[in-house]
Amino acid sequence: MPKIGGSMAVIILVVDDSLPMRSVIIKTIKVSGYGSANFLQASNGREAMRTLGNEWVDLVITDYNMPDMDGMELISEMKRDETLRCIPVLVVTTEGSRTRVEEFIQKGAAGYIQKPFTPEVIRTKLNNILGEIKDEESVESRNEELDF
Amino acid sequence: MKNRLKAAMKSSISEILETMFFVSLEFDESGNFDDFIQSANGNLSASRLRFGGDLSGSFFFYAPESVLLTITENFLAQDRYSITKNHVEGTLKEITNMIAGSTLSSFDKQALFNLNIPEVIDTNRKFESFDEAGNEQIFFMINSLEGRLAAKLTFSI
Repeated sequence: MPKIGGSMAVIILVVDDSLPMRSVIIKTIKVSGYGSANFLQASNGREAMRTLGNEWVDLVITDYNMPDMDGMELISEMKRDETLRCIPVLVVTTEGSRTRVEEFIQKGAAGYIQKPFTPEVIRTKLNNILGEIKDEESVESRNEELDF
Repeated sequence: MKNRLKAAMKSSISEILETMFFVSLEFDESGNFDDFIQSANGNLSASRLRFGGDLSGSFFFYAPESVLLTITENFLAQDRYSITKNHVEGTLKEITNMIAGSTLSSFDKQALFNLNIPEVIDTNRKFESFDEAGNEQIFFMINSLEGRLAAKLTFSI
């Protein structure tokens, strides 16, 4: 499993049908304290599912409104898959209606970011989510050590 | 309702263009759409996003090609020689997408709107696309350091 914390060698899958938006999200994450993160990209949910089937990913950041398979469908598909359901998903969206946000959370999103966003917002969200993973890993590795 | 929608759109345009696209702007209340089209000399890019739900209609965003290229450069933090047509069109569609989403969600936080995928439109068909979209309209002329821009919302209740 990739190491999280310290070197921050996390692998993040960025899913957005907009090439410039993917590029901006990646650049923003890099300047938000995750300069050594590795990135994978997909232009819709279906492509993201294919990538998730082949690559290890620590976090998925997805747009909501995309052709073919949107962000909500992607979350549902991931939650149906035993190996993918534990990967946190952060939704980046222009839509900030309460109903829509509740829908994201109900489907299992770990959080959402509304566009326009700033690097500070991205940093806070990533720290929250990746910090939780780090904590879970610490517990896991401590348990493994105890078992050993 | 139209005034509330207009206020939501105006503040969304400011926030999005300034925060994400680094465009300093001011609204030109006396601006005329026909003059804007003519001054672009046919070098105008535009995109449209249709939406439905509690309210239905279309958002439009217009930018002269040279201005859009500068905005794309700023947005991507890349020099213009590395920027492709895909980058420019993607940036144009993203502006429209963000303005639409932000306007509708700040207009009514409880309502649910279905936003379509933004598309680049042929500006020679601007009046046709305007007519098909709804019977009410809100229009903004925007002055920026990079050049003049325009945004429009047509809707029916």
